[in-house]
Order: sequence, then C-alpha cells, then structure tokens
Amino acid sequence: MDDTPSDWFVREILPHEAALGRYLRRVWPNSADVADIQHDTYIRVYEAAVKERPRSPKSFLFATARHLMTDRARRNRIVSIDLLEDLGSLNVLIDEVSPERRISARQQLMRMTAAFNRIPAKCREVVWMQRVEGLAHKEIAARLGIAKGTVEKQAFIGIRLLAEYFYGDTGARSEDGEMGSENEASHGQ
Amino acid sequence: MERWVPRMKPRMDSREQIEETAAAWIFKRDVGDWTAADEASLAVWLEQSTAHRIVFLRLNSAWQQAARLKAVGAGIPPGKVPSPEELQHASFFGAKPMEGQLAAASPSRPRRSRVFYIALAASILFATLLAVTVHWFPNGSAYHTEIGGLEAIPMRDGSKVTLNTNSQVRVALTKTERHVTLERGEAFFEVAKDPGRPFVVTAGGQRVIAVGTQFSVRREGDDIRVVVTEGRVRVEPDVSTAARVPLAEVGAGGVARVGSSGVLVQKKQIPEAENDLSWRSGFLVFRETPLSDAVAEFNRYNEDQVILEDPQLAAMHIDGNFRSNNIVAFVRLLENGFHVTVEHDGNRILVRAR
Repeated sequence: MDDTPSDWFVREILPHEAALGRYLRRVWPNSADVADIQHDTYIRVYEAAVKERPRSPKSFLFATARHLMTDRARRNRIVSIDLLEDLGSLNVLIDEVSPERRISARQQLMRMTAAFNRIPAKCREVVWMQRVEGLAHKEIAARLGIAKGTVEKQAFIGIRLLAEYFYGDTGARSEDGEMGSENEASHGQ
Repeated sequence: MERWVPRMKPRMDSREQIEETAAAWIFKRDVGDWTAADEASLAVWLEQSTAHRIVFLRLNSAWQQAARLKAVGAGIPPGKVPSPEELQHASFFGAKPMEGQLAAASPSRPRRSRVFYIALAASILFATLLAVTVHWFPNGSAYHTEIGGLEAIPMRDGSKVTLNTNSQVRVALTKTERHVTLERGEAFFEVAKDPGRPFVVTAGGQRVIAVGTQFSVRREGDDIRVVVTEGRVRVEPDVSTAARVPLAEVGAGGVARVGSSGVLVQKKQIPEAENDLSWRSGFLVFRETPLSDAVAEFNRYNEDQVILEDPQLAAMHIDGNFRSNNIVAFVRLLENGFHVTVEHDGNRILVRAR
C-alpha cells in the first residue's frame, strides 16, 4: 500500500526516540550534543528511507546513530577509549520483537496526558483551548486576556515541549505509558 | 485582517530555529486562518531540506495526538482547563466517576419551574410511600455530540457511554432496567454488571440487551450495527413483550447488522472488531477499505464533505490510521499518494482522477 517516507518515519522511527535518547546519553560524553546527534540521525534515516525503507527500522536507527557518533568523535578528536570501545562493540542485536509502537492507544493517551501535564501552566492553557476546545487564535487571546503574539509564543513552546515529553527520553514516565520500556540497555552492552 | 506567515529564511541551520518555524506552521495551520497559498508555502519549506521535514513531522505528530486529550477531558465542562490532578484522575483512566460528573457532561434537559420542583418533591414522597418505581423523566436525559465530537458520559450505575460524532442518546435509569435510546449516530457502552437490571439499548426498532459487557451500537436510519468486544448481547425487535423473538445472540468479536430485511452476524477476531471502534480514541482505522467507504466514514466526522467524482476512485483500497477530524490531512494524503486532483468548492472537496 502507498506509504510515504513521512508516514513511515512517524510510525517506525519516532516511537524509538526515548530509547535512542537514553542510549546516546549513555555513550556520548557530552549530553549537550545529544539532541543534535539525534536530529542528524533522523535526517540520515529519513533520507535513506526515501530511497528504500530499511527492513528493521529500529536496528537501522541505532546503527545510523552509531556511525554518526563515530564520525563526530573523529572530527572532534575525542580520544576517549571508553567511547570508541562502546561504539565498536555495539554490533549487538537490537530486537524488533517488541516495537514500542505496538503500545496500545490507551497507553499512548496516558503518555500524552502525562506529557501535557508537564508543560508550563500558561502553555498548557493555550494547548488545551486549541487542541481540545478548538478555539481560534483570537478567542484564546480573549479568554486568557493576553495579546495574540503571546498566545503564539506560548503555543510554540507548547508544541515543542509536547514532542519532547511525548517522544523523548526526558519525557514523562508513567508505569505502562512509556514507549521505550523494552531492554534497550542491551544496545550499549 | 492582519496576516502573518512563518518566517522562511533560505538557510536555517540551527535545529532550534527550524523547530521555531515548524511550530509556527503547525499553529497557524490549526488556528483556522489557513489558505491555499499557506499550504503551498509550507510545501516549499518542507521541500527545502530534510531537516525541515523531520522536525515538522516530529512536532506535528505529537501536536496532532494532543487532540486525543479530548477523550480524557470528556466530562470536563467547556471553558475550563483541567488541572494536572483532574486530568490524571479523569474517569477515562478508570478512576471512580466523580460526584457531579454526570451533570458536568451537560445534559440538555429543559429548565424546570419552581412549581415543577414542588410537584416533584411531592411525588417523590408519594412514590416512596408506595415503594414503586417512578420515571421522573419518562424520556430520560438527552446527551448529544456535534459533528466531529467525542464525549464520554459516566452513568450513575457505573456504566459509561461514549458518544461518537453527531450522535444523540437518551438515558433513563429505573429500578428494573437501564435504558438508553440511540436517537442518532453511534455509541459505545461499557456496562457495569447488574444481573437484576438489564442494560437495554433501543435503536431503529430493535432492542440490544446486555447484562455486563462492552459493545457499540451505530444507527443509520433504521439499520443498526452492533459490535461486541466483551460478553454477549441479545438483539430483538423493539415491540410488545409478547411478540419479542430474539433475532440474534452476539458474542465477543461479533458484528451484527440488523435492518428491516433481517440480521447478518459476522464473527471477527476481537482485535479486528476493536478496529471498528477506534473512533473512541479519535482515529479511523482502514484495512483494505474501499476508498468510497473510507470517504463515507470521514464525512461523518466533518462538516467538509469529500466527494469522489470518478467511479474508478471508489474502488481503490486504502490502509491506514487517520485522525477522524483531520480531513485536510486525509485529502492531502490522497493527493500525494494517488493520481488525483482536489478542488475545494465551499465545504465540498471534489476528488477526481488525474
């Protein structure tokens, strides 16, 4: 069936973000780079998928991240024995048995609720009014008694934080609402 | 009217800047002020680099999913943003229904006069003395949703009714029966066990009876479709007691179509039957679905109506999960994925083979 690279990316790659983030944070010495490495990894994975969809999306995602880190380490002349060893020994199996995307709609909704609950109060109001009540820009501004420009700013923050908390490893961790709950620890061993 | 368009610098290397711009597009697209020119500019921006596209996909996907908070927030009155605690303990997640929640779901019961309440108090007293069941509101309380709506209504007996788009029910609880009339649309019922008080749904001249189970009833004129995900239900004509002959017993995974011409029961796997009920989380799930059926489904949830102009389009099959109220995304997908052209004409979206 017709499946665009974008659909594929949202369905097969994004649900692994939490696991990927934890993995990057564990092996890469500087956690400030993690978001950028993840971003670059996504770009490469997407561009590869346009040509041909990888058969094991999760393995491909982690392998791509590993290559990028190796490149980066060489470029930055990071001579960390630990890191190079880590990167070298990562030809481990990344199981595709329990893809996180199989979590139920209910669990996804719990995770979304937890993510939504973590964003700052003002943002939260704007997001709720737009997403749940379907209010227009002007109506939100009127109800909160703030300028339209302020509504926008809050919405932008909200949009970014929702994605961060919903997909990312810094995201909410509810007991069964977590996407990256499988044994991704093995990726680093 | 003032207009703004997200900034489009030719080169924007930093991830933060890209996120900022992507967020601006996403917000602009959803607050209503969105034109064909905007759509074109967004397409250009997305084509500029893979970085743009992946950032957009990531932010947009989470943002679109946030609309499903509607299901969690069902029962929270409009105009109120629930606190984190209120949401976490929403009845959606299985907490006990809170006191007053039934009222909060805004039943459209007419206002009563003071005389009425005095009469009501008097009749309660009278009825208590006689120890009989009295229908205070013979027709029950009515609840409805607009097109695109989704509403969960906790009932006092612990059962829950979830209303799909453009639907209306009337609920009457008595000592001998829990009675719901589906006047329009589709509803999913999670029935609290109470063997002494059957749960009866009437729709289009049929009665669907359950004791403790989960099932949905969808009505199109006088035809109904019953999907059972747990337990069993019985379907019988809604006529006088003596003349009632059960038409069918439907177990978990069963889908019954009942019309004037008869009953058709189809046995499905339970997960497959649940696909039919994905609307409860705001999604439509299509598996090898003819495009004509998919379009008819979408049209139930949206004021804008998609019209397939060519018969050969209707026969195409599609797969996928879609947000039921994002008809724009659905149409965009058709446009990108198939050889079709799309023309907007008022609230009609005309789709033709290219």
